[in-house]
Amino acid sequence: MDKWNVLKKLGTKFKHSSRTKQGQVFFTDVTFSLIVFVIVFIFFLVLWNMYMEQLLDNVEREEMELLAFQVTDIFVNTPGAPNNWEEGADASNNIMSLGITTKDRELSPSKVQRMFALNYTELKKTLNLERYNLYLTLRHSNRTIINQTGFIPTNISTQQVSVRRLVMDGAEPREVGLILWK
Amino acid sequence: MKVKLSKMKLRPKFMSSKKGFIFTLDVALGIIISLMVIAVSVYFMTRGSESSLPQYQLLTTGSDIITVLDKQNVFDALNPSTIENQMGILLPSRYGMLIRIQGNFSQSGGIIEAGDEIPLRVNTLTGRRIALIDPDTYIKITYFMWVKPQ
Repeated sequence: MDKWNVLKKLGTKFKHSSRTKQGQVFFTDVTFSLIVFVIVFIFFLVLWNMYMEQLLDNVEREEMELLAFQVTDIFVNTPGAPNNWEEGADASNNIMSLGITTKDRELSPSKVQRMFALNYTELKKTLNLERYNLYLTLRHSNRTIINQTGFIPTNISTQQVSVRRLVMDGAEPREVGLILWK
Repeated sequence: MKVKLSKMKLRPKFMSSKKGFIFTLDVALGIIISLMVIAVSVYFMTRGSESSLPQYQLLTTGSDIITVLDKQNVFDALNPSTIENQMGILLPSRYGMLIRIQGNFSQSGGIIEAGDEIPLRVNTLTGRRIALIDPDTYIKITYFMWVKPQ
């Protein structure tokens, strides 16, 4: 074999090997890009999922908060509708809104008594809180319970909102508490 | 001639590295902008999802306490220690409260304060109520509410 042929052979070999190398580099590049893309994509999916879940929880919680505040506001600021809803044998059918005061934050004993006498389903229906569970209390200012209705939140409750309002019962301050949970 | 050749050899190399640099800069800029957009979105989502319940609860507690004290005629004597004692009975332990009474009365130059001292660096909510302590005298009650630091 002369010098020229050896050089030619080497050149061909070099050409072949450089082509194969180029293909390998391209393949590595694509694989690396794909891996990076998939990692980033999974990261965004997980993040999106996490925030959506949190957002939905917050929306539900805010709705519960709003309902709890509206219900307790009506309790302590209005006599309810009709004004004499507590009168009559089947009071729950005629109640449009449930207020337990005679005027701003002054309890009406007859309305309080009638409200705590309503059964749980009737109470929830009247307050338009059928989707949730509730626990309603009337307490002394030292927190001892005078009256209660509904169910205390269990360990498995996912959401709960608690609102407390102060009212006067004659000359004594009382606390109306509502826990809304699901 | 020699110089020219070396310049020709150098030029493509220099050009290609510059292109790489621009590309890297482009990617870096893109990533920075994307991260900024994500950070701003996360910040606003977190702020938007903050609950307003504790603040509203705090303010309604203050309003309820002032209403109850007014109905019990606690403000009539304009005695800071009586007001503070009655307030202490109704106020939940995790809350702090300061009541400021202003009016046309001679005591303490027309300003009485009862309750805790407002701590520094704590968000305070304020409410106001006008009350009559006798048929001719009205007072302006300003109350400051805050959550006690743990």
